[in-house]
Amino acid sequence: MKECNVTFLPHDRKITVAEGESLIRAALQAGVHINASCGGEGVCGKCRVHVEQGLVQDGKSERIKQEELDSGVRLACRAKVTGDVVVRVPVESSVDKSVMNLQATPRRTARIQQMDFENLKEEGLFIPPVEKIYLRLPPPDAQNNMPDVTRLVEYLKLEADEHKLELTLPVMRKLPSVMREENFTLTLTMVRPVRKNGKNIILNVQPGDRSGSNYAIAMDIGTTTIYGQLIDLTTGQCLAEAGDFNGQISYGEDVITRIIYAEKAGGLEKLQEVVVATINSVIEKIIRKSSIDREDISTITFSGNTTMTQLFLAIDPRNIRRAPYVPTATLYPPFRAAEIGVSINEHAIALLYPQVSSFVGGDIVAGIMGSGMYRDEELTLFLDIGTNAELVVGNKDWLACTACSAGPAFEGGGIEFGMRAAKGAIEDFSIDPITYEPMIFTIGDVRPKGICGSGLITMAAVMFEMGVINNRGKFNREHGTPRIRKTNGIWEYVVVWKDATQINRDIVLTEPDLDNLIRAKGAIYSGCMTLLEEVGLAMDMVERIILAGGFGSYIDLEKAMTIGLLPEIDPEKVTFIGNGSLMGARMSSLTNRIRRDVVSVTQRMTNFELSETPSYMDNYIAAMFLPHTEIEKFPRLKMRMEARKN
Amino acid sequence: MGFELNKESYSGGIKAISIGKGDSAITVGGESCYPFHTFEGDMPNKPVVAMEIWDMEPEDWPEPVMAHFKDVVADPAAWAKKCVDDFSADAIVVQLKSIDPNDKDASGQSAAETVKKVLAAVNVPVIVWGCANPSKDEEVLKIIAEACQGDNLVLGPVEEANYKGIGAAAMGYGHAVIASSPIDVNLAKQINILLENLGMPMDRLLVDPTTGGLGYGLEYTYSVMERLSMAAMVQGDDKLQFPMINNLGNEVWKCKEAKQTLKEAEVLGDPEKRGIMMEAIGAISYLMSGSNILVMRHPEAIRMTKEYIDALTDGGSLQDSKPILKVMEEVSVDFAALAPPVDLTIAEEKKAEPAKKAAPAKKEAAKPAPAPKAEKVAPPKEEVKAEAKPEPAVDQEAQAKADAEAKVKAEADAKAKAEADEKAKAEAEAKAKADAEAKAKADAEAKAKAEADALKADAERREEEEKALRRLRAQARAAAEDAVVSASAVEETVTAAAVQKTDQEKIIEMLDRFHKRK
Repeated sequence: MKECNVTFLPHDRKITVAEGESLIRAALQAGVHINASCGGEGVCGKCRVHVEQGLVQDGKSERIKQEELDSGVRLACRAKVTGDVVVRVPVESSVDKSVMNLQATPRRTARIQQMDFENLKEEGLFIPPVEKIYLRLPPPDAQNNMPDVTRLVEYLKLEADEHKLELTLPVMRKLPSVMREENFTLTLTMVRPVRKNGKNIILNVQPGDRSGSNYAIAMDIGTTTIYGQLIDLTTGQCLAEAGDFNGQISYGEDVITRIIYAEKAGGLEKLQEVVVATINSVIEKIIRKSSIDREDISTITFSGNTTMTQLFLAIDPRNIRRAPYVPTATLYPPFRAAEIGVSINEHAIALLYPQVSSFVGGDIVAGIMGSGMYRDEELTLFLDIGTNAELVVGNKDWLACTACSAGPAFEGGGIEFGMRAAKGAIEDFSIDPITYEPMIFTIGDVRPKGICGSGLITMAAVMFEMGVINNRGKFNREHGTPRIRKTNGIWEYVVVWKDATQINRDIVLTEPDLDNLIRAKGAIYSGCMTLLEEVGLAMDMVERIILAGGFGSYIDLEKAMTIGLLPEIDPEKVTFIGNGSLMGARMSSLTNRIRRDVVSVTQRMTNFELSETPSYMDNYIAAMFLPHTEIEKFPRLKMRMEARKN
Repeated sequence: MGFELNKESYSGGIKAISIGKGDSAITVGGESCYPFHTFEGDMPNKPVVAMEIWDMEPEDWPEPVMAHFKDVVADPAAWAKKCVDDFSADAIVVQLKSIDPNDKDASGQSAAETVKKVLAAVNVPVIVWGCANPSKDEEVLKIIAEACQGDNLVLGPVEEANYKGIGAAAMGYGHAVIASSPIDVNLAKQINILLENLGMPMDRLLVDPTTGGLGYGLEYTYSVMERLSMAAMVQGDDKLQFPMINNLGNEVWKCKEAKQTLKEAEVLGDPEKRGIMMEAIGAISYLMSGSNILVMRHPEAIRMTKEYIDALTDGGSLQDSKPILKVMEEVSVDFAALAPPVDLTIAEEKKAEPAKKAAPAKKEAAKPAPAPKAEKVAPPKEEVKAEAKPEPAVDQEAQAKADAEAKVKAEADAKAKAEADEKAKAEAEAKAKADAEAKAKADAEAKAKAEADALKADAERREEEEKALRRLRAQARAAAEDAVVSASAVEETVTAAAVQKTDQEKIIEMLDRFHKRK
């Protein structure tokens, strides 16, 4: 693809973008502020720029007069870069150059770490727990009339060097007809043992050669959403993916309310029933998408937090929420998924991720396994950010973990105009430091509907750096802009006036929204600090941060550090793995090694209860400040703020 | 080698801040050591006592205080003058009680007039204390700041909710402010940062950590002030190096115990001395944790506090200090008559105990018995190790060192422990037996007899315990002496362990212990 150089004046900032990028996105990347409030639909007409050299495509509008068009005025949100251009941004106020250069830090997102299947193969770790073996048995005759089962077992011993075999009754029932259907050619489905001395269990027999069709399902049972992936066990590829809201939501949004519901008569059964129904709907979706034979799915791997796991298995979770917070089990044996109503062939076995404690569950263990953190030398901090944030620190020799409650702010909950990261959500933001006029970006470049978690972080960070809010998240009320106003006793900033929105209401960011955000980020940051302190480490000793969670890929790391959600470290050290739980579930369907290692990993994970760690509250109060009470911990930000002051 | 005092090394100090105007100005703070640790640094300015006056007639002041101010409470200026002339107050705090919107809701103008009158009447610094309603304080203190421009007042309390308004007014009209936060180190720092970011000159800032009265949170304030001092001095945190002010009198005298009359609470004794002592004890506690300005109420409490400050800074004895000068009549309380009747049913309670004690005795005895010994031996052992490696840790390490001394010591330890165990066991058995006997007898014989027996058994047991303890101590002392001798003998030959543990190994060891894996 062609690359184009864009220069913004009078800032004199240069950026290289791909051909076809809009001018306004280029400006965002370059850290140049252009007033814009309609998300790129071209209706507000605020983002006028003057193209001085070179040409752009589109960007015309009935809001721009013909003579202006002739002189090169365009709407930055509609204009596409087609070659090298020089663009002048009109400066409404007498902003001097030095201020403009301090406007915003360029966007930094985390490196995305994906599962490396080739690597797995090279290391000889590609050993799916379930294998298929194609056999051609000699048909029985007068000399060789041994029974069908004996024939199969003997053949496996002599020809395939397979020992310690175990057959189940359903397989025996099928065997005579399957053997004879395609002239004694058949495919075995065999579960490998976790340890060397275990037994090989023959799960299923199918006529003919089906060894090329071996599939597994990986599933993440989240408190809010359930995601599933269909995995081809011969290639390691993900063939289909689907997700759905966990049906249990109608019985409570968080784990505690669900546990309370489960304690009522019939509650536990009900919750199991609805979660299994959601799982089945996800299975139907991925089978339909990939059009494979349900019988070829032999494994289904699950990962979920402790409460989700116990509710899925209908194991009474009441002790999870009562001190001293005891889960029923850490390890669960493999079982046949169909037994608890999962709509899958009856031979398919379910494998569950083990738990560490009541609030550090299989989803985190899966993240640790999936990201490979447990095999790394590097000292790593693993952060799974959601309503409950889970934190793990350690390396291949030791692991310590904890969980803290952050609240739903990062998922758009508890925020007046909060929403999930979907079309129309404001995901990026910039503000003019003099006029307080905003520049907004929405997912899908449509008119805004609300603010998503990453947008909220960016807003708070930018407003803080520009002095729009103070260290406590309170607006500068003396500015005089109509955008900062008091409604029903609450101070707010109007992000988008209603005529530029999809919802026909002013989209505002209120002081209580900022309070919620500060509480959420404070909980996570102080959780990290407390955990590190407990093991006697400091942040600067951490060599890598792994971010997991539904939203992390869009986080602007610099902004997350500006508000003190993440400690200030080199963004290069941060990697993002997306849904870590699902990644782990997928890994364990591909390699038996994980099943073997996971037991020792969970035993190695030392859990710290923050509620029983006295320094947590202290750290929490210290973190309830932008970026933190100890600004010295954020030297880059401190430098920027001092430069801005002078 | 003579005795050498271990001295703290400080990396910061409290800023010296001047309050008041012209000749009447005083300087507070400026110390470069912990409170009264003048052997470690300087404390150039003694803590001062400011006396509080109200801008309205107090209704709920108890008689012991009221007796001293009856003649002046109607006139704040005369009141202030009396405090300075008769009780040598170092500063005056005008408590703006009248502006409270839940009470009289007086206007800013009337408050400003009161402050001006007080300013005219005295030649000491004047501190203006609001009613702790953030918005009303902001409104009133802004007016006062303007009306008293150039008088270098101290305005407070300034909270997060009103720091902008009061801060701006104080900056503009040349006053100092008191940054107030609710008993928390971090919150104290945060309000200071907010004020600094606002542009407030940091040489016009005092800190109010929020004061608890004696029995009403004194220990919370105490430990937070201690931590503030530590952050300022040892960690050199420049956001916390400000003099502290405690609004003490107001807290002490509003509590129930300070107000109760003799009739209402006879067991608490003389109501006059009671309140005075509560205030004086509170003052001394806060002086110990770093207070620079104490806002107080009772002249006698103030006299004692000042004598205390002088004795600590200038030296001298408090033996000649006069007793509390009473203005109310003497009271005499017959405490013996008030005491609850003596409970003579000890024997029956004792009977229940043996069953409980016999079982855990063995376990408990095994553990605590060697403990005092371990403590005794510990210090010299740690000294030896401290030289060997920076982090002395578990016993295992000591054994791992396996040099001759350690072995000898370990053997001594083991032997002593075994003895102690044995003794503890014997003791437990003896006790069980004695108790059991006592019980059997008690069942069979008269109650009085049982009582005597139990007492006797008790005495025997106590004697036994004491004997055991004496023996243990003797052993421990001997062991400690041995250790010291051997330690000093081999001082030069101590070498670091052959294999030093890495940070990682230490973490793993800690986690294993935490996880109870080993």
